[in-house]
Amino acid sequence: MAVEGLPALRRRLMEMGLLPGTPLRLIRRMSLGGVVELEVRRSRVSIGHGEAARLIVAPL
Amino acid sequence: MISSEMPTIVIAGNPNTGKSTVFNQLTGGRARIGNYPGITVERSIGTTQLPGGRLVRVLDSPGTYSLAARSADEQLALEAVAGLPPLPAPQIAVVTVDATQLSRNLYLVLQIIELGVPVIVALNMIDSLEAAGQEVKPEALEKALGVPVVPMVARDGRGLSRLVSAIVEVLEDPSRAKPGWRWRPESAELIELTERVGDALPESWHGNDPDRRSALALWALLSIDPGHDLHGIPDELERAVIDGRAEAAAQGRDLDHEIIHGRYAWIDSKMARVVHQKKHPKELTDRVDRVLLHPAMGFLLFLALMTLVFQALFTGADPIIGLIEGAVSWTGNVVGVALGPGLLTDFLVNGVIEGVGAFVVFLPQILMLFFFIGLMEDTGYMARVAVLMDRLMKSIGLHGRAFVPMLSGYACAVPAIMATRTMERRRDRMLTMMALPLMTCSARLPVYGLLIAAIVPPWQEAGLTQGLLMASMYLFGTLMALIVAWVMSKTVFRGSYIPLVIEMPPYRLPHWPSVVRMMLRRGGDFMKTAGTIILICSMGMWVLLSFPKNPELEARLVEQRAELEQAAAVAPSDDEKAQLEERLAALEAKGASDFTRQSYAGRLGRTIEPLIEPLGFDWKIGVGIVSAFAAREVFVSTMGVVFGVGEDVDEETMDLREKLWSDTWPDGRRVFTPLVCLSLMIFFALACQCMSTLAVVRRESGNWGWPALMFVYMTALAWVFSFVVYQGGLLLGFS
Repeated sequence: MAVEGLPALRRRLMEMGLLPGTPLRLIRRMSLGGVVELEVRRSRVSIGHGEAARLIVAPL
Repeated sequence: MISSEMPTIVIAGNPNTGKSTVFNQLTGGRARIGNYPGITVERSIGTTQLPGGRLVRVLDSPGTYSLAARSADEQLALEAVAGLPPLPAPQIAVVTVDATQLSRNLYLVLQIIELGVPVIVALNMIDSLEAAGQEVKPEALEKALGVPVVPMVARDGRGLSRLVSAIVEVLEDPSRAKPGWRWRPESAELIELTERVGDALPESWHGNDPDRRSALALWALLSIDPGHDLHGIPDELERAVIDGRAEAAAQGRDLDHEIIHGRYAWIDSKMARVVHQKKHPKELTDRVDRVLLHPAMGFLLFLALMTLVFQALFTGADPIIGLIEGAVSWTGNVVGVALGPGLLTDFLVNGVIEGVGAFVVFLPQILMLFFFIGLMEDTGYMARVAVLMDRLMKSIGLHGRAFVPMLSGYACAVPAIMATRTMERRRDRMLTMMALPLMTCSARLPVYGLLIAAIVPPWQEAGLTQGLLMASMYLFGTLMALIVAWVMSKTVFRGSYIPLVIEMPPYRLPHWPSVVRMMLRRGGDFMKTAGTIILICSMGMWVLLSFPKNPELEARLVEQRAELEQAAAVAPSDDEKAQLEERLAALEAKGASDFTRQSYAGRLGRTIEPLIEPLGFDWKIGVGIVSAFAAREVFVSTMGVVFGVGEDVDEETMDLREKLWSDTWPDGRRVFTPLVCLSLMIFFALACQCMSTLAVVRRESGNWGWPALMFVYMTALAWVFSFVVYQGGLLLGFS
């Protein structure tokens, strides 16, 4: 996976362990809250829909 | 101050790793809460006595995933851990680590080790490992990192004594907690760049220690961006970083990736021997979230929970508040009787005792609100609230977590402002704080009640219009709060947009001692700091309302009172006696009215009359507005006093309604016309008529600038809206 644009978010996600090549799991998408929950390195994080759309992922 | 020889231990760690629990265990909960110098991020300082009698100071630091900073408040984590001036350089950093999320937690550990600060890892939550389907070997971790690792279950105090012995050992021999090897920049280009950035660092930061210099250079490379919000960054350093990053980008290199990936690769290479993934983790959190984050059910459950919280604040606190008020007036009576009439008695009863009462009454709501917030934080539900509310709140520029404080604002702004602490970022906190007092708090209700009742003649019953008017005032306050939040998020709090990353911790059962401790700590903190300011303001209000003394007025009152009392004593029949007592009461009320009219508050009311006349208000309303600064509901009793009905009144009091109805300007026009009542309600909806709110904003923001801004913007808004409503209404032919 890779993160496009938004340098501050990209850096923060990388620091939380979401580096290019790190496996991630989509836990849920919440249309109401506009939030996507991901699992990375055994921890769960929620990020906005708009931000999540910038993640470049490939199925494992 | 604490002596400089006392060693400092800083507690660091990711959010939700039990950092404050470890802090409380070490200090026995005896901590001073203060703010970091010059900034409104709370910090706790405590001391602890080690076996052998040595005292050490324990300093908490903000929870963070990384030392890299995007704002001045995130920068504090580095300053506290590295001990950048003026903060003390710590002898040890105890880093709390969630054992179930080891690799992500170790990223921060690694950064601190790089700085050359001796590190002890508090490997917390080892009791959750099994549920997470993992096995972690503390000894292997100790070997891999080269620093002491203490397995802990901080909530139960398990591992605490081992942590204390580790602290003693490291204080004796710091080299035990300072590995000679760690991750270092590998490529020649990065080494050269850290050298260059290192040269631009202030010497006071690194003290010429080459390792620390290189670590701080890496920090700068990951923190300083063009247009950054950090503080105390020398221009030279900013230039070096920005030039360096631009150069790297031109060569097609990605510095963020090089550094962060480098550290994670180091961590991953060590982890294989430390962590064993056994089986799939239990899915309790998943199952609970399927309900609590369900698009329909989750939202409804959240609303139900919020209704409960709101109901508790709004009505549940009432009996306790009644008890406190009863106790305050009882104490006042006892003191009054014991000391007899006089200036000192008046000061003690109406200045000091009432003043203490004025802030103690907030305590029930503050304790209740923080009990709920503590529960929500401790169980992990607060992160879900932020997620549920994120889109809604973001559309007006607020954080998802601002929902609970904003809602609490309907009960009272004071606990609600304190509740903004659930937000980590200063910008989110200040923005919520500034808009929140516009929510219709319960102190506005008696004022609205009186004014809505005053719209119809006293002989008429309240009807549907009155109910609708009350509802409209609620809606108006809410809309104004949301609009102000939106406008401020685009102006005062513009700043760079930091996208939100919310960690979703697994659900846990609440740890009652921490919930109660936090609740009591907030309550105590409010009493000490905001309480003092409220007490001083109350005394000031007492002076305004009780001076200057008017001997002539008093002598006349004493004379007339004596006459009536004498007549009552010898009255032939009970009927006549009752009549005389009624006249006595009327005399007292008129005396109070005459006195208030000539007091400083009364004079202030007259002085501001030209300012408020365009809004339709006369000087008597002016007196009410001045005295309502003590608390909005005081407006009602002040009106009672000014109109000679006595201070024990509410909107049902017929005498007061009649007085308001028949009150006129010198030229015979009625004062309290429906239009004036509406204009006055708008004024009360928007004006910052509450010294306690300002006191608590002063406490939370750390300086007087914010409360001053709040007072000015709210008063200006109130004036403009009332002006438009009143003058516009006149133009349209209303009265």
